[in-house]
Formats: sequence, C-alpha cells, structure tokens
Amino acid sequence: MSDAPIDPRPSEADSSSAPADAQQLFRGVILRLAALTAVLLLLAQGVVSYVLAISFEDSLLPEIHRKAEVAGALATEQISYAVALGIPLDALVGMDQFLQGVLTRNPDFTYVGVSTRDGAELYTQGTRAASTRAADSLRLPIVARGETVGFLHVEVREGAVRSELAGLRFDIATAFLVTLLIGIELLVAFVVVRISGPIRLADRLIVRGAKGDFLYRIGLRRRDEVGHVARAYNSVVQRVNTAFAMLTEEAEDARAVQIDRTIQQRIRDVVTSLGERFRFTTPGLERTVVPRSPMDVRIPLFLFMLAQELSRPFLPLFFGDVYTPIGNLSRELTIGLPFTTFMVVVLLATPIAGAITDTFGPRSLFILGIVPSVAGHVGAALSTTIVEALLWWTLAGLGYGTIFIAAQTYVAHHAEASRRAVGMTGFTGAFFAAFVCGPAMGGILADRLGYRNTLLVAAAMALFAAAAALIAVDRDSQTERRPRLQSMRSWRRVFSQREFVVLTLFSAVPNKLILSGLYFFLLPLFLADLGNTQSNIGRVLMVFGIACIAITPLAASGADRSGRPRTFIILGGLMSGLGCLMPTLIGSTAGVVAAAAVLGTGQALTTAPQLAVVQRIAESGRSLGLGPGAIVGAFRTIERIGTAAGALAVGAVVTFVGYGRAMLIVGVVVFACTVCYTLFGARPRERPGEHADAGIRTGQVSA
Amino acid sequence: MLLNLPARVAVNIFLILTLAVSLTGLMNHYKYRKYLSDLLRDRHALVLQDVGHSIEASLALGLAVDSLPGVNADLQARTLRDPGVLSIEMFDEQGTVLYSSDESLRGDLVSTEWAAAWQDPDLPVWTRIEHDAHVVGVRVHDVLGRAVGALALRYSRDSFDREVRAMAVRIAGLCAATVVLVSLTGTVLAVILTSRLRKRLQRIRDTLEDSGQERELGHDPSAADLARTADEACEAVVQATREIRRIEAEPHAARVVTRNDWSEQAGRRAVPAPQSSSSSVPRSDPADS
Repeated sequence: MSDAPIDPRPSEADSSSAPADAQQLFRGVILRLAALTAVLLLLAQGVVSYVLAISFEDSLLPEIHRKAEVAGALATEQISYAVALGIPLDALVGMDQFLQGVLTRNPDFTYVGVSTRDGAELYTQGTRAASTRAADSLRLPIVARGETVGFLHVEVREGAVRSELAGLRFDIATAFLVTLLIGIELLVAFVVVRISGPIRLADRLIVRGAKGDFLYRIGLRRRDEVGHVARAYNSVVQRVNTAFAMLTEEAEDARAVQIDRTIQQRIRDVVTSLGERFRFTTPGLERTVVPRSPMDVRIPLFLFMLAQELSRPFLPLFFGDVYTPIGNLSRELTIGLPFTTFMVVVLLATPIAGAITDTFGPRSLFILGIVPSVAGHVGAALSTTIVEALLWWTLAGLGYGTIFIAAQTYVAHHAEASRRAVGMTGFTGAFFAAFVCGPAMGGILADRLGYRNTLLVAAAMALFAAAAALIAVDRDSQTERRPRLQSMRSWRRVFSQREFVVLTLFSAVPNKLILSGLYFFLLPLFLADLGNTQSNIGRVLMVFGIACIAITPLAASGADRSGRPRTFIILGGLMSGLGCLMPTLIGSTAGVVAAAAVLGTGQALTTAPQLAVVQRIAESGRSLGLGPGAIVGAFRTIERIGTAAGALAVGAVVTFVGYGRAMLIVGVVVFACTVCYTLFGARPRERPGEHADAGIRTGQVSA
Repeated sequence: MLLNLPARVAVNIFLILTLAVSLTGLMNHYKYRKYLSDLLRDRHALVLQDVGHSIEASLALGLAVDSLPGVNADLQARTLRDPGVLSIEMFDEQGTVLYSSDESLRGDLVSTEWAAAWQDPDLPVWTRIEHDAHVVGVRVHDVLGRAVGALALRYSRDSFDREVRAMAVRIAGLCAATVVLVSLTGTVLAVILTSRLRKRLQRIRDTLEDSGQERELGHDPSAADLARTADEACEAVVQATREIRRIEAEPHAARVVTRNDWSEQAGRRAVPAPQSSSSSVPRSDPADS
C-alpha cells in the first residue's frame, strides 16, 4: 500500500489526458451562455426603455400642455393689448419677430400662428405638422374689449418626450455594455469555478482512478449534477478502499495468529502485491481535493478594480475642486500630485506586500488591502483641501498595491503548470473588464450623485470585493517565494543589458507616461474643459479601454506568430504618438475621442510584445546569473516609476502650454522615443516561433 | 433539483438582469424627474418673465424700484391663478423683499441662498429646492441693463413629489416584471443550452454508479475505465482474501490460539465480504474454518 503524497494539482500529463471534447464542451457552454446573456439583456432593456417612453409621454404631456397654455396666454395677452389699443389684428407690426421669440423661448413648440375668427391665417412661425394629433395642438382665443377677434395656434412637437428620452440612448447603451461585461465576467467565473473547474478535477481524478489510484476524494457538497458526479466518484473510491481495508484487517488477523514467519511473509506479500498495482488508503481518510482555480479571485478582483476605476473620469476634476495652493506649485502640477503619490505607494507596497503574502497568504492580504483602499476612498470623499485628498488617495494606493500583489500571487499559485498563461489571462480579463466598465459607470454616477458620493459608492464596492474574497478565495493557499532583485549588483547586471535599457527607456516608460499622464490625468481635464458632461468623459475613457481589450490579444498572438515583437512595439509607439496629435489635427471632443481610441490601440500594440521581449531578455540574462523573475521584476519596477512620474510630468507641461499643446508635446516625445527604440533597440533577427508562449503571458498587466 | 445547473445559471442571469434593468430604470427615472422639473421651472419662469417685463417697463418710465404701483396686486393675482404657486416675491439688491403676493413678507430679508443664486450672471433663470417648495427666480433689470433685484416664485413640491413617486413605483414594477419574465425565458433557454453538458455529467454518474452492480457499464469512456479498474481492484482484493484464507488453511500452518480467538473470529464473520462484480468470498462458510 502506498500513501505517498501526491500534488493534487494536475501535472501536464493529467491535463493532456483530460478529454479534448470536454474543453470544447465547456467553451461552447460559456459562449452560448454569454450569447444568451447578451440577448436577454437587449430584450429586457429594450422592453423597459420602450414601455417607459410611452409611460413618460402619457405622464408629461399634460404638463407640456400647461406650459404651452401659459406661454400662449402670455403671447395672447400682448396681442389682445395691442388690439385693444385700436390696432386691427391684421395690421400688427413686428409679429414675425414676436412669434419667433415665442418659438425660441419654447423649444417644445414647432409652430405658432395667429388666425382670424374665421380661421384665416394672418401670421405664422415654424412648421405646421401635416396631421397633428389633438393632444399636440392648442387654440387660444385673442380677446379685445370682451370680444374674440382671433386665435393663437400653438403646436407642440410631436413625440417631444420621446425625443427627450432619446437623449438617454447613450446612457442606456453604456449601461448595456457595462452590464453585459459584468454579466460575462460573472458567467465566466461561474462556469469556471462552479462547473468546468470541478468537472476538470473529477475528470483528472477519474483518469487517475482508472490507473488504479484511489487516494483522493472530491470535496464537493453540492446537490447539482456536478455534485452527483463527485458523490458517485467518491463512493467508488470508498467501496474500493473499504474492500481493501477489510482485506488488510483480515491479513493482520491472519498474520497475528501465525507462528511461522514464512507464512506471515506470504500473507504480507499477498497484500503488498496488491499495493504494487493499486494505490489504496484507509476509507474515510482519502485526501480530499477541493476544486480550486485562479478564477476564484476573478470576481473579487473585478469588483475591486471596478471600484478603483469608478473615479477615473472625474478624479482630476475632483482634485481641481478641492484645490488649494501648495507652495509655488502650479494648479495643474498640484492636481497631478495625488496620482504620483498613489503610484509611488503602489511601487513601495509591491515588494512589502509580496513578502507579507509569503507569510499570511493571498486571501488575508487581499482583505487587508481593502482596509486602506476603503479608508482612502471615504477620506478623499470627505476631503476639503488638496492636501487631505492627496493623503487619503495615497492611502488608497497602499490598498491597490497590496491587492494587486495578493491577486497575482493567488493566480500564479493556483494556475496549473500547463495553463498558467490561461490563468493569467483570466487575471487580466478582470482588469480589462473593469477598465471598460469603471469609467463609464463612474461618469454616469458622478453626473447624478456628484464626485463625493461616487467615491463613497466606490468604497462600498470595495467592501463587496472583500466579501467576495471571503467567500470565493481559498483560505489555505500557500505561496511560493517571489523572485526579486536583491542588491545593487543585481540592478547593475540588469542595466548592463542594452536591449533592456533601450526597451524600458524608450518604450515602457513613455507608454506608462501616456497611461498615467494622459489617460488618468489629462484626458478627463481636457474633456471637461471642452464642456463634456461626466457621462461623456466616462464614455470617452471607455473607448480607450475597449481599444485595449480588442487589440491586446491580436497584438499578443500577432507578435508570437510573426516572431517580431519589436515591430509591434514600434508600431504601437507610432500609434501612441499619432494619438497625441489627434486633438490638434481634428479639434474638439471628436479629436479627443479619436485620440483615446488611437492611444488605446497604441498601448495594446505595445504592452503585450514588450513582455515578450522582456522574457527573451530574461532568458538571455541567465548567463549573468539573473533569474527571469528578477528581470521581469526590474522591468515592472521601472514601468511603475514611469506611471508615477506621468501625471506630474504632464501636469508641469500643461502649466505652461495648456491641454492641447501638452498632448502635442507628449506626442513629439513619444515619437522621438519610438525612433530611438527603432535605432538602438535592434538585435539579431528573431526566428519565428521563438517565443511560442510569450503571447499569452504577455496578457499580464502592471499596476 | 432546485439547485441544478440550469437553476444556478438562471440565478446568475437573474442577478445580471436585475443590475442592468435597475440601472436603466434609475437613469430613466432621473431623466423623468429632470424633465418634469424643467417643465415646471420653465412654466413658472414664463410667468416671472412676464411680471418682470411689466416691472422693467415701469422702471423705464423713471419710477423707483421700491415704489412701483400695482405690483403687489399683480403678484397676488398671478398667485391665485395657479393653485400650485405658494408665493411670488420681488427683492432688491440687498435681499429685502419689496413686493410680495403675501403682504406680511414685505421688508423681510430673503435667504442667503437666494441672494447668492440671483447674483450668478451665468443663470438667467435660477432655481433652488427647499424642504416644502421649489423656487424659481429671474433677474429684473433697469433701463441701463443693471440688475436691480429679482423675482422669485415658490411653488409647492407636493404634486411634483407625488408625480415622481408614482413614476418611481411604475418604473420599479415594470423593471421587476421585466426581470422576472426575461429571467424565466432565460431559465428555459439555460435548460436547453446546458443539456449536452448535463447529459455528459449524467453519463459519468450512471457509469460510476453501475460500477460494482454486475451490469453493463455506462457509455462514458473514462468513467467506464475507472469503474472497470475499481471492479478489478475489488476482484483483486477478493482473490487476495481467498489467497490469505488458503494460506491460513494450509495443513502445516501453525496457529496461535489466543483467549480472544473465538470472539475475534465471530466479529470478523459479522463484517460483510467485499462486493465484486464477478465473485464474492463466503467468509462464513464453515468449510474455511
């Protein structure tokens, strides 16, 4: 009998033995359920919007008419006054301008006219509808000296309420997109955690069992189809182990009463020979394997990132609202300060959180990280000066850095060896979904509730994330020690790699400069300056996120297939530079929208291939005694320095040249950096397929 | 059955729909409230602008702003014309009420909020919300275009609040009904969409439950492999048991008879023999002993 410890996590061999059609089946289920969700959402929102439009019209039309009556009565009074002075109704002067004024002051009116008592039209303004419902027109008598001399006709715009509600279409479309993404997030997490994960585990244990391994039982206590399978499997294992237990008991009894050692040995051999073919254990003491997946952390992480991104469209504006002068710093520079301190704290928190994760485990750290995040949001919401806001927001950065590391560690630990890249993709999926949903939702909320209340909503959402982590994330996960740079010597070795220096200096840092300087800081301010509402600002920022989501996988797979990640990095740099020029080239809000789309594309084209190059550099760094983790860690650290400096640098430029020109200058810098990268970052020609797995891994995001 | 996979999918769909429809409902309600509020504001602002034009005409004739004839009566008449209007006042630059539909208010100072609102040059029509009323105001200019004061109209928010509340109830009802109906549709579709998966799980379950039952194994290949291996293991255990008993029964096998021998044997016989698809060992057969 063998009871050697076996890692319940699947090996590569196990994964490969899982039926391929099962994978297809799960994928099919996810796709079909996602499509079903989209259709149901469209149906529900369509029905609600249509019925409400009719309902609103019924409710508001009487009020529109009352307003029309008042406006008409006031106009009629003036005409009556003139007629009472003895001027004939058909000889009034300046009536066209007068009626035009009535139309201008009442945008709900499409037509205003004066007719004689017999119905002959004397003066008209606006367009009369060919067929007007009685509900949409008014006829008011013009009375002079007690006698009706004519009528004032007013026509209310048909479907005025409906066309007003049509103004909601962008908001409703945004809500549709946001809820669809949230819905797909929930569904994917549900299918992976509740269905495919347990089934994959059952499949693996069934395959093990078929090879004679009866050491494990599935730890599921659900009463659905998956739970039934788990129970059926467990009963098979228990039956076999019970039989074996009875045999061993009998063998022990038999041995105990034998004097002859040869006989004792023969009995022992009978039992041992069974253990050579099968792996048994004591019934009831089978090792319980609970299905765990990197996806466990996806929903808590998504909720937390959503909370973080809610404030994205208005944060610089909020800091502007609570602005109070700090020394000689300009207003723009001061507003940019909280972004910088936030990222600096993220930078500092990363290694500390990494060390704590090794001790406490990701779940505890995740929940611990929520505390400063919630406190930061609430404190910022209650701030009255920029210094207070800065301090609270910096505290929120501590939470962000902690949670980022906790989640990343959890994913890295629970991802199967052969599916680590897919696990990381799930991790980035939560980020990207929040990246798209957060600003859009935040914009709508800020429009309705105001900045401070939206920050409080974000704090509440972060608490939900903590609750989700308590439920979904495995309490007992142990983590492996994270690789990190230990000394200045290591840093020197890293910087001795020319390709690494060129990549970080001319591509990674400008990329992060764009992300934090333009996306986090400048675009919301610029859009507000152009007169956009918070909802619009949120939607424009959403364009950036959508471009990232759409292009990142294409760029990753394209870079892998072609084996030329540098080409993608250069292309991405040029796109980013072009994006910065858009507001100058096109002008107005349309230019900023185009800029957001092009900048998002540039980011997406660059981010994934950058990591492919870093991993290649990391492989070559082994000869210098540097592990891949150390090089990737150094790359991330420098990237974060770029992120931290972004808002401050752009704020300084804005101080002197304004928003539009600041974008232009950033664009020129990005172009210059891209040219430098093209010239100095060259290396021997890459062979296709050299980085076969880099593409998916490149899905990783950095804080 | 209530907790099967389609039910779980349906719960997810229900949550997502609730979120989406609630968001849509909230936005629509906000729009309704704003539109109704704007309509009321515009209607009352028209009245104020009309009064304002009369006052400005008087000022253009050279009359002093605090001694205009007939303004109080005009304000009272306009107040009586609309039962929703609570009062109309005109106050000067210092915020002192000069004319009012309610005589008792003359000479009072208006709230600082009103004073701050009317001085904002960006708002030709300003509004305020008070606990019992909405306030709408317009500026009054003299012949030189200088603002000499403002007219403010307070109207009851009862009917507004009632309308808004009624609409909120209607929206909530509609949203709830939509969520329930669409969720039910989703549940039916979820049953259909997950049928292949559930069939596969049922096959695995059936196959595993067939194991050890001396009947043909189900159709899931990997589960059937496990069932076969389990049966083989049980069979191997049975064979091993037989082998041990055979060894025990060999004539040269010497046995130590302990005090508890008989009771142990009796206890052992009470334990059922391991099941096997092909055979079983009649442990209590007297021939063995």
